Amino acid sequence: MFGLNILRQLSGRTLATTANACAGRRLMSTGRNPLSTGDDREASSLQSENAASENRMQFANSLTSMIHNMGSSVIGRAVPVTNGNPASAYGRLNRILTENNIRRELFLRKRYEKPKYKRQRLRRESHARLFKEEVRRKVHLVMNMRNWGM
Amino acid sequence: MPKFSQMLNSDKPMKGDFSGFIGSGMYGGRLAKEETEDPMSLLILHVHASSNNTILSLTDANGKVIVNASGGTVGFKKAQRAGFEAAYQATASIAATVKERGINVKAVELRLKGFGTGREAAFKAVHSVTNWVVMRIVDTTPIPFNGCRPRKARRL
Repeated sequence: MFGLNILRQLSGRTLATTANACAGRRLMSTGRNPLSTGDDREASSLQSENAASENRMQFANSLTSMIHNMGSSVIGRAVPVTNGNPASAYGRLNRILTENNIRRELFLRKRYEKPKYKRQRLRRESHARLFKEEVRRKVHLVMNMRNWGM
Repeated sequence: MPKFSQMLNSDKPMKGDFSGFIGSGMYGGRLAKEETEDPMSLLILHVHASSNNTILSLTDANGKVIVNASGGTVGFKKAQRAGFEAAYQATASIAATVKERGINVKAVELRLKGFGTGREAAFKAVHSVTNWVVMRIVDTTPIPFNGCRPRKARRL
């Protein structure tokens, strides 16, 4: 759910266009030529296939139109309240914000950071991230080796 | 989380987590068509929670302001306006004014701006003090995509 929100935030039409593309690909993969005439059974199943794809197209289009109607830069940060539980919706919103590092980014943008300090900070963060990843790998290796009985 | 494969295999739009986004409306499909057209049916509570103060504004769906309240309007001064208590009392005062004026509050959308203490406080107050139905919670903090240059760094 959160992933979908972030996806919408990043690229508004991706979901619908991918859905459209996937639906198209599925139709083509069945190997049916819509122009050819065949048995009655084949024709009726073709019709139902078309109806199903119609529904899918409508669904996908409704998604894009929804995004257009909402229209603002705030879609990814809007959480509808389900089951009359605003506390859980608030929790979801907080999770979206922390996963996207919005608080931290805002804090950094409060004061101007000169390019020199920005470069130093980015290098430091990258180094820390790589180091932690290496440590994580070593620890997992040790745990696995213990499981294997070494 | 629903998968693409499910979406392609099913003929109808899926329920569940998607229900907030499908053509049933952006509020989880809980507002009728007539209600969405009348601006007074869905009220928006704007919460501007800065580090020095919390300003709350209850507006209609188009943005026309109905009630205002802030840390200062409920009697706090200076630094105390930024506190938890101030935001809580401000939300309570909005609820009281609305009841006094006889405005029937059916659905409320919460728009939170800024990360001050008032943010949590206003949400808690809406949840506990009032009996409003919250439809949607939105975060509206303005995030520049590298816009204006901020003030210089504080040298302490």
